[in-house]
Amino acid sequence: MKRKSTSDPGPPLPGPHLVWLAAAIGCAQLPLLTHLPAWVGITGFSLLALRIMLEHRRSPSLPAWTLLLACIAAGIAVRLQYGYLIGREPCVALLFLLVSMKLVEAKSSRDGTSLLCLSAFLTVTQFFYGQSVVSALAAMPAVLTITAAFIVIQHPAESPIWRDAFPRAARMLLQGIPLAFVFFLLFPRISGPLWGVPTDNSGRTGLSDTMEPGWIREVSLSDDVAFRVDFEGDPPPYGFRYWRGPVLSQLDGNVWRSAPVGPRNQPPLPAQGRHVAYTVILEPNNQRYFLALDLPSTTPDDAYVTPAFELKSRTAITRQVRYRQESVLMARHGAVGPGFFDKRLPQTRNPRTRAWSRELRERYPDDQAFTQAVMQNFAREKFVYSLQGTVLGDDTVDEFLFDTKTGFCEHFASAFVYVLRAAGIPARVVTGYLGGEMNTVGGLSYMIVRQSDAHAWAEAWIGGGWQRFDPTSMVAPARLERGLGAALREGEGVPFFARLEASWWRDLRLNLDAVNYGWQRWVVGYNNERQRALWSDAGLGDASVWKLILVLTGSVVAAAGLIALLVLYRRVRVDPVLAAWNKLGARLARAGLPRRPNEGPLAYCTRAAQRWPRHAATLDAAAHAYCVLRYGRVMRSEDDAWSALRRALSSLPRSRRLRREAAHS
Amino acid sequence: MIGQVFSDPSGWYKSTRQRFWRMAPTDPKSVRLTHNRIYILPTSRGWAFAFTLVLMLLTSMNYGLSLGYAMTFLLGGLMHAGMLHTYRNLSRLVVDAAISGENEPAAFCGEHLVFQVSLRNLATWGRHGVKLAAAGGFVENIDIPAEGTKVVELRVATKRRGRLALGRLTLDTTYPLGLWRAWAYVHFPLHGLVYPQPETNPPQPPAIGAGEGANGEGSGDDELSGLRTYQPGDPLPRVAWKTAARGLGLFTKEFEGSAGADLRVSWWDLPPAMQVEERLSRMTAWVVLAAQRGQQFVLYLPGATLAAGRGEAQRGKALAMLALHDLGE
Repeated sequence: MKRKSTSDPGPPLPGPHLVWLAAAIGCAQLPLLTHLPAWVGITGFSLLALRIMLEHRRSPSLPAWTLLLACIAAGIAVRLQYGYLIGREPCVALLFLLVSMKLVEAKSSRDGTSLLCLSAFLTVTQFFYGQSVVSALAAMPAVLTITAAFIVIQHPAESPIWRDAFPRAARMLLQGIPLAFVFFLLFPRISGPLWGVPTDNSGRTGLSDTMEPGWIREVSLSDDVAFRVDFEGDPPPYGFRYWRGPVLSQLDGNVWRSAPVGPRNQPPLPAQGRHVAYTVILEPNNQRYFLALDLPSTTPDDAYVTPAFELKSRTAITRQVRYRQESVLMARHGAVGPGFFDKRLPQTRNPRTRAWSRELRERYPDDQAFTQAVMQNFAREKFVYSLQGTVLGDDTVDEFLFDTKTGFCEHFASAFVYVLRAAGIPARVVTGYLGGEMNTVGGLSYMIVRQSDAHAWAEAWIGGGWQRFDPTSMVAPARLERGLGAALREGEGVPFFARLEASWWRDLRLNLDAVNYGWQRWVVGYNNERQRALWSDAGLGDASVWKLILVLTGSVVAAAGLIALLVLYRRVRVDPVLAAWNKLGARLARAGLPRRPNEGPLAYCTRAAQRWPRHAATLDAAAHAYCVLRYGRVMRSEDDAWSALRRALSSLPRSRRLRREAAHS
Repeated sequence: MIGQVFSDPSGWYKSTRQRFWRMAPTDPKSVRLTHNRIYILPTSRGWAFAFTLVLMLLTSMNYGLSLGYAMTFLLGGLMHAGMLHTYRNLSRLVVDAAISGENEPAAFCGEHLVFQVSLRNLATWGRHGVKLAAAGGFVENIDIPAEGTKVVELRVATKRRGRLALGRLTLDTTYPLGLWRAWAYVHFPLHGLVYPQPETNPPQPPAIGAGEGANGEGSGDDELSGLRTYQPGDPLPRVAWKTAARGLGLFTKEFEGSAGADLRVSWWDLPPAMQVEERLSRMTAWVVLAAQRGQQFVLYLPGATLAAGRGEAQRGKALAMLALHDLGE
């Protein structure tokens, strides 16, 4: 065989092959559409359509320079869209476009190869955006079509293979599953990234360490799951479900920021109080915050506790994290006193608030009494809890406290802290989530906390301890008890899951979430820790590397062997007549007279009878019996023929004797 | 086997080489392909796919994508299944040679020799996209139904007259995914005969009568071998008139080898300046012509003579002589 030279691009791609390739690419691109800007999707699919159209009209393919221009244009457009090019998401967008462009210029069978490989890679990129059951299902058509396209571009268009390319592809994928399963379970997982993962600028909705006016409102309009919690024992009552996130003590104009602290000065963790233990499955948030019930009493791996009792990760959380956490439910703690930023108040803004605070302070010199008076003020002055916060000017607190009197939790919390600081009481804003919905579908019992549960409250240093105050509760006590949907007035744009009314759709979504939860737990969340747990369950916890390699190799070989057996070992359906006939033929062949491939049974037996005249009658009977059984239509004689054939076979001597006889004659 | 490595290294090398590459035509006429004959390696497409899988794995590792791992391993499992299917497409296939009988195929130089190879599928699954190749030609996309037989006509290009060995056959397949190529070598002792290329528009062959008339009696290279009694129908120029004039009766002259021939295809009838291959080419054309017309002819070559005759057998013998002339066979 001549080997193909490497520069040989292979045979050209005929039109029907191109259609298959376009289908494979389209299936790989489809799940990405919801994650990429609309223009990227439209351009990609238009290019596919363009190529099919050109092929249909038998137009010549586009010249190379137009495609080069198109590639450059795509690069620039993606750069403009994202503001940067070297990052995960712009790269996915660019790959999406380039695959389509490659199809436009595809000419040879080698182009087909690269297109299918690129499509396979593109299918994986959708998991950057989510690894739900739906994402996995969405990848299936792509995998199937790519496999089928691999089969199809191997064969000319009129080949019968084309008709059942899909069943063939499906069968082969199924045969790939055992090996894939073993690898999935046993292939060593690593805990960190191999190379630096650039944090994508495109923020996810979620908490962060700055709070601009109106920001929490934006977050809470999202139905996305922030994290799920699996409690060991009963979940705490609604009013205690304060999930502590970033603590914001630094006021910078109208923006609240978290105070800059490093991993030093770990505060002593609380030991006494009502303990709760639970496991959190945190969705990636591109931030460095873990969430825990107020107040955390343990720290997850790779995390530390700041003096403000925030749980901070050492790296940004860009993938789903699962950690076991313990908390002590307490609304008051005093381990670390107020810092510099907890007292500081810019003296330039909100003159009315500061004046009012001083006035109130004269009436209530006691810290506790003063704070209660501020809280009472929200209830007495008929403040309204609403998502429809008006756009405020420079003196946001003034406008909120004295003019609009309408706001969201962040307004209440920041105004409260402002008033307290103006009166000399250290105070700070705590952001996080309040609440969570139990999902008890399908025997599971876990809590879903969504972005719409995002909340801001306050802590004030009173009597030698930080005490939690939630000003929102004065206005909308239902927010504490039953969540956002209960707290808002009628007609407000409440996110779907924060609404209270039950509906079949909501039930369905909860069912789906339950499936997703199991999925997250067993499939997506299968990482190096769970792998290690599996190994130690299997008694391999402290096994040596060599033993592990042995187990891995053994399992792979077993799975591969199983499939090999399945594919290669087929019990041939034995037709007794054919078997008897073959036995006769084999005996004669061993005796030195093989049947010629083009020789019929009668001719063969005649030839054999010439060599062994003594057995001529037997051979003749065998041939005729075989012919009757194989080709005959006379049903009545079949039994006779069958016994005749068997008789002939038993009366014919063994091959060794036949050979001797032939030699003698 | 192992001992042979030391006791007879060159013999061991030869037998190993033969077992691996089947360089010598030692296969019996029917060969069943099994694992000790079938090789399998990834194609360039297979390597590209494997490289993609590595990239996918690295991406999944870096970004901790569990589903990415799952997908990579699924496609890896697919590649493994593909390997088995490709192997299975050749495994237990029976290759039979020369189904058309014992006659070796023949063709004129420049045309194709057609060897018949039959592929018997004893398995309950169909075989697809098998390629059968020899040094001079190949047949692609052979499908063999389950428990069926396919006779493949392998057309091999010819460049030189003489006996042409079919050489080693390669059966290969990349079905179903094109990620793997399985192949097997089969080397039958099969030959074809390549006749010289007949000259286009050759001059008319010299008829025996015409030759006689032009050059006179007894001229040319034919030796007068004797006389026999005249039989009605003998060509008049052959009648021995001198004998008749002496009153001895009518006799017909017999020449060596050309007894009863209408046509003489002779090496020595050709201009002396002609080269060997040109001569053979013209003689081939004459033989073909004679056979077409149904004439009897004789063939004279240096060192070989074919007695007069007609029909297919005569044609075949003559062409074979021309094909093998001076080749030392």
